[in-house]
Amino acid sequence: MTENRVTNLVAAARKGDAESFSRLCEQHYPALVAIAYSQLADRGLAEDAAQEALLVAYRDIARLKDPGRFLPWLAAICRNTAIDMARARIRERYAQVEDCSPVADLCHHENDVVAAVREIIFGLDPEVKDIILLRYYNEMTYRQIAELLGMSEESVNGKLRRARNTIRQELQRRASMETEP
Amino acid sequence: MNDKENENWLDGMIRQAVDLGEVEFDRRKWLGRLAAQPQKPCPAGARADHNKPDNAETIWRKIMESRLTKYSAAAVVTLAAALVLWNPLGTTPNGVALAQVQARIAEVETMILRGQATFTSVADPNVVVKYDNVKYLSRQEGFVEDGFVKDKLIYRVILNQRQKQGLLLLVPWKRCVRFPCPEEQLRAVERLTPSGIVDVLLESNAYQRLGTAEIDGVEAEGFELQNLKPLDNLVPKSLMDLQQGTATVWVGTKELLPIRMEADILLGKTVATLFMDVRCHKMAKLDKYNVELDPDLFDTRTPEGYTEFKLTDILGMFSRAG
Repeated sequence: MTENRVTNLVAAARKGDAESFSRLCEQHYPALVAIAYSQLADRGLAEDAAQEALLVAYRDIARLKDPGRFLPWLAAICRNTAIDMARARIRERYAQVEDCSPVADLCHHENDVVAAVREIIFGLDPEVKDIILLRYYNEMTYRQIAELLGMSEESVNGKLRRARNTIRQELQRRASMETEP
Repeated sequence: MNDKENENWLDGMIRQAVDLGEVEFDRRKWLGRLAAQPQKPCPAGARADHNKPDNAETIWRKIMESRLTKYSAAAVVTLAAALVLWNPLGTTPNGVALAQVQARIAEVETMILRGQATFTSVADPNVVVKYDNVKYLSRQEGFVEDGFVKDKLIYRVILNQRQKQGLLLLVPWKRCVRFPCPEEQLRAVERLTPSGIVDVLLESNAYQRLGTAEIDGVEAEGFELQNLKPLDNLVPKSLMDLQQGTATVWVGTKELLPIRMEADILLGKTVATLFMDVRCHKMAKLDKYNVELDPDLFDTRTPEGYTEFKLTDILGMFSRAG
């Protein structure tokens, strides 16, 4: 979708055109699910959060001062919606079980290394998690990620590179601990 | 496995780790949820009218952070940042009001902020300067910023408010540069304290409320400022040419103080950027406040073993260092 096209759809949505807004949603929904997933580690909840975020965004779109910043604005709403849901979920889990890690329940049946990588990823900064999801799950380019998150391509590149180093080093550390007598 | 195979293996592991299957937007379902919503979207432009009673719900403002940089000619330097917010009318029961934040900041005598800064050349993304920093702000004494690379102190900038004196220490080289801090400069620095920036950003309403989140274990309200141009006048353009920038700030809902600030800024060519267009990412966290700061921290006397240089000497040093 071209920038002009996005701008036109945003302009129509600001006038209350839900259909135009739903077209924007269609285009960016997978990325929003990824952003929500980075907070929730649960696909079902992530989809709920993304849809809820789109409702909030539609309701508040008239407050968006700069339509050119629609994507970062939408991403921020989605992230915060997911964070709120994650907090609520953690509170519920505290009431039910001792281990409230959003990751723990996902790791049972998976390859150990993949599970370890996921655990490491979900321990990273929220913004870095978003970038990893958008890159590896949504297969977005650095430019697309930069536009969505409102940062520079260099910043995306740097954060991703550092995140990969962190994952690699943490895997090595864990491996060395396992081999220690 | 060779390096390439290692990288591919790691990519594969990450890909599997974040694979959540195919997702598809169900437009009909979403429109159904939308139809069930009690609220229709606000008409465009409604937000600008803060006097309307139904707008009393919110507000915000925002802010941000800092900038520092400087190396070179006067080599180095500066500053910092903070935040903003605002609401002319009030807030919802769950919201953070700018006036409250402003009042709260006014009670704070000292702050310690810890953060990181990354500068990337626009022309050559391989030219990256990254360091950690600690900022000490004292309402009475002035401003100090320490820069660290791999935990080693690289520079210290001191702006002593009482003495109206500045000092830049380049620690690895045991060199220092002394410079006067005239009244105008101190006033500019004062504008860069959290309370000063709140005042500056009161003039800006281009902010977005990001909602609440747990930030570093603290419940906070987030704000995004989409245009940092209002900060542009704080520092002479010859020193800092802020071309564009965005920032987010998280304000603790209990303490009513900014607890985390982040900014992405594009700086034009100035002596402070070694005459390069530079992208900067800065992050700062509030570490402590209202703690006693050692007065010696603001001492602008030449430390023992240091050689005092002029700015032109520093420029030559950087030039020789490539």
